[in-house]
Amino acid sequence: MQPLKHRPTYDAPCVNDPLRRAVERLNADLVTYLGEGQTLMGDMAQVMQAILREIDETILPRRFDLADDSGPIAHLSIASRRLVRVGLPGDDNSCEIPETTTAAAYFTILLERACKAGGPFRLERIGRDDTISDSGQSCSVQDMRDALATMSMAGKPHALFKQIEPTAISWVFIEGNDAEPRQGGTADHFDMLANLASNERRQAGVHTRLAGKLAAKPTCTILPLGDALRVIVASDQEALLLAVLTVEQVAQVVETWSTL
Amino acid sequence: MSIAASLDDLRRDNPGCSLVAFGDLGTRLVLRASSDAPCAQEHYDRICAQAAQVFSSCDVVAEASGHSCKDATAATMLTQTETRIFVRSPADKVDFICCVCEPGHSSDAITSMAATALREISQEQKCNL
Repeated sequence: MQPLKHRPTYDAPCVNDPLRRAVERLNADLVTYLGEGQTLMGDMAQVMQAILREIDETILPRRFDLADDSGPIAHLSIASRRLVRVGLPGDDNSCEIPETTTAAAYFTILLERACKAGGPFRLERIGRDDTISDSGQSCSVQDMRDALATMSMAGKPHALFKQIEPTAISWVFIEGNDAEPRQGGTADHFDMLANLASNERRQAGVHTRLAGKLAAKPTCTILPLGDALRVIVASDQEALLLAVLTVEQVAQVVETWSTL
Repeated sequence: MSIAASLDDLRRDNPGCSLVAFGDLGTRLVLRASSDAPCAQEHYDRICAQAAQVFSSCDVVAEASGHSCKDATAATMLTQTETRIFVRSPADKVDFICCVCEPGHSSDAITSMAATALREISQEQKCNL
C-alpha cells in the first residue's frame, strides 16, 4: 500500500476539469446553478460547444431549452453526463429515435434543424427533469463529436468518385438507399463489386441496429485482390463507392482521401 | 515472447502508431492491447466490429474473384483522423491484430510486422497448450 504521505491530497489540481465542475455542481443549490451566466451564441458551432460542455458537466437530470429571439427552438434533457433527449417544439415525433440511426446522429440532425433559422441563440437551464427513464438511447460527448465529424465530412465518397472514375479499372457507385447503382470500366469485376455492395449494406445495417456505433462515418477501406490489384470501398451515410484499382492507383487514393 | 511484449514492440517500432490490439473474431473480443493512452471497452468493441466487417468484405472479394481467402489477410481502413491496419492469421482466420495509426501512415511495413507478430503469438499459444 502507498505510504500516506505520498497520496495526492484532495486539494491537488484536478486534471479532468469537466468532471471536477460536474462534481462541484452536485454541491451547488439549484438556484445558484440556474443563475449561472448564459452567453449568446452566434452559430451552430458555438451552440454545439455549449451543449457539449453542459453534457460533460451535468450529472443530475436537467432540462435545457435552446432558444432564439422567438423563444425555445429545442428542448434538451441531460443526465449522467449523457444527452438523453432532444425534442423540437410542435413536433412530438422528434423525440422518437429511428432504428436506422444512432442517438448522437439523430440529436445532431435535430439541433441543426433547430438552428437553421440563424442566431443569436442561448442555452437556458430550466431545472430538474423528472421524466428521464433509464431505458432508451442516449449519447456521450464523444458520440456527439463523432456525429458532428461525420456530418462535416459527408460527400467524401462522391468527391473521391469524381477523381478516380476516369482511371479506375472497374467501379460501382450507389447514391441514396434506393438508387440504382451506376457502374463503369471493365465488366469483369461487376459481379464481385455487386456482391461486395450487398455485403457492405447488410453489414452496415447490422452494425447500426445492434451496436449503433459504426453508423456511416466516412471511411475508405482497401482490400486485397490478388497481388497487383486492390478494391476500395468508400462510404458515408449517403453513398457507397466500390472500385478496382491498381496498387499504384491506391497509393494516390490514400493521399487524396486525407485532403478531401 | 509474451503477447503483450509482441504488441508493445510492434507499437514502439512504428512511430505514429498509437494502439495495437490483438483480438479474436470468433468471440469479438480484444484479448490484449498496447496503447499510448487508456482506452474504453467501447473502443475495443468498435475495433472488433470493424475487423469483422473488414474481413467479411475480404472474403467476399476473394471468393467472388476466385482467389483463396487465406491470401486475403490484410486490409486498411482510412478515416479522417486515423489509418487502421487489420491483419488476420492465415492459419485460423480468427486471430487478428489492428494497428491504429495517424492519417497517411504507410501500411506496408506495419502489415508485414503485424503478420510476424501474429505468427509469434500463434507459436506462443501452441507452446502453452
